[in-house]
Amino acid sequence: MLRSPHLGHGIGLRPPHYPRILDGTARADWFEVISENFMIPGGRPLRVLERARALAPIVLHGVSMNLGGTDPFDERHLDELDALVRRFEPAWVSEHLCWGAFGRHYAHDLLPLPFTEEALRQVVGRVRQVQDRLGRRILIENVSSYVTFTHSTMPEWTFLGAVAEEADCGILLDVNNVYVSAVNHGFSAEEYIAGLPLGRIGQIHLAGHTDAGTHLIDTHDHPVPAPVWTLYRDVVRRFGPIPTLVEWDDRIPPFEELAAEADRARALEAEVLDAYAQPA
Amino acid sequence: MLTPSLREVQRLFWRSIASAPGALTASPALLAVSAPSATLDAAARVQVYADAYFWRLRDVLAENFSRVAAILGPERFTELAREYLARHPSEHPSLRFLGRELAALIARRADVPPALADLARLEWARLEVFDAADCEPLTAEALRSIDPEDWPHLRFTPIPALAILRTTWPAHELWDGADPGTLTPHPGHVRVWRAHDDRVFHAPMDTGESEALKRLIAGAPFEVVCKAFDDLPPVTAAQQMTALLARWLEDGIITRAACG
Repeated sequence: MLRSPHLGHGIGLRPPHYPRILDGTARADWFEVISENFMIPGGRPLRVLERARALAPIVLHGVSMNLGGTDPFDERHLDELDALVRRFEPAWVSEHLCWGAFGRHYAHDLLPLPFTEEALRQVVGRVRQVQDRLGRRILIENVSSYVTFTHSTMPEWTFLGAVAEEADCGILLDVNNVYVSAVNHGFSAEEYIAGLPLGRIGQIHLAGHTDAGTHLIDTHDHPVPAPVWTLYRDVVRRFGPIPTLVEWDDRIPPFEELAAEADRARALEAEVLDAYAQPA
Repeated sequence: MLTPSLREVQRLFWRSIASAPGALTASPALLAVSAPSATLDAAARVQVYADAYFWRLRDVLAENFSRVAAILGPERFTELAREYLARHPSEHPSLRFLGRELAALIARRADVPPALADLARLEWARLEVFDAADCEPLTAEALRSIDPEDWPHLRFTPIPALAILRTTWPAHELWDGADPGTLTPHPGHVRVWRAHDDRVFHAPMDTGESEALKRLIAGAPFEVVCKAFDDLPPVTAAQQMTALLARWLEDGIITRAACG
């Protein structure tokens, strides 16, 4: 079981909002940053992160660990993440349930895994390896996907839950990714949520996506759409209050809009929890 | 049919999206284990990843080399990115490091103005100094406290966020918007640095400055740095060196001065 505090509703810190950090006007319960963007020797980004850390707790969210990969880990990358963790003491560290490199070359994408026993063993072993290296539990995030494999032997939610239980890690549940993959692959998003283990969800992501006509694409460039908010309600009902963040990575709006989205998630969570607290 | 190993699936997948960036090359063996959806066949689904791979990295290259991309225009830059990614797939977990070899590729291509190779090197150098290691710049006040007798033996340490580029073309003019067709080769040096307020600058250097700065970076004592102006009358040389040192201090490119 995870025992992490409910830090509230965070904001993804991206370069357009660095000035708001430096002038001290950015307000958030916590900030999430992309780990790889700060694996640099010095300069402004690290100064921004120092300042953000002074304003609120930060969370490191990685995109290139290649947890599901079959190359050996990039030791330099692990060292750099470890150094970031020691320097900035994030509230938690997260990565993606996917692979993203082959033959020492990086795709810079979140590529899909077959959900097989072999892949499960591979991911569990590598999550343990990272956790041992960092000396802490990490959270692993479900990704949006556009391909499924005919030799998968279990649904994604079973695979994700099994990784979390067997590696003793947490889950960063991306509700938008559940929705996008559910539409793309024709499974039930509600069944996905219901199939995840209690006590393992450490963070929630919400985001917008793009409808390409034949499939949905996880673009993080739109406001959270209604179906994702609806699914978020289900998540709060099932898992209770969990630190939540609305992700924007493209066409990033002004900081106030991000804060408003975080407020909306906060209000919706309170509404769901209040409904539960009412006497029958 | 035998179930492919995880490694084999990843090998097939990687080859499908990255061996010919931007083109459809889904491997039949991968398609054999990829399921269609209600709206897309397996090849179209793999193509979603192939497109995302190419266009994401192409856009990062266009961001890292925005001046080169602007001069070439979208179609020619996309073609350049296609060749670059085929020859140099990303080797670093961070996208920040994508494009290290772009200038060399431009230099080899006959269909790209050769001046753009120097512009690409300038853009790359600006990226490098942007996130180079931090350090406190030396102040004029600190220098004033040094005994005049020690000056000939002083060795200066440059900040890490400083680079010198040797250029064949006036890359700084291209940066400022010059048409590459109007330029002629003009060998020289450009200084690239990050100021204390984190802004990145570059400036062309004359022969005296580039020679003096190269000596300083190499760790030569100040009396040897000054010899960069040996071709000038002594008084003029001293004035030049004094003015140069004042400019370097103002730009914050020196971090330390020590004897020995």
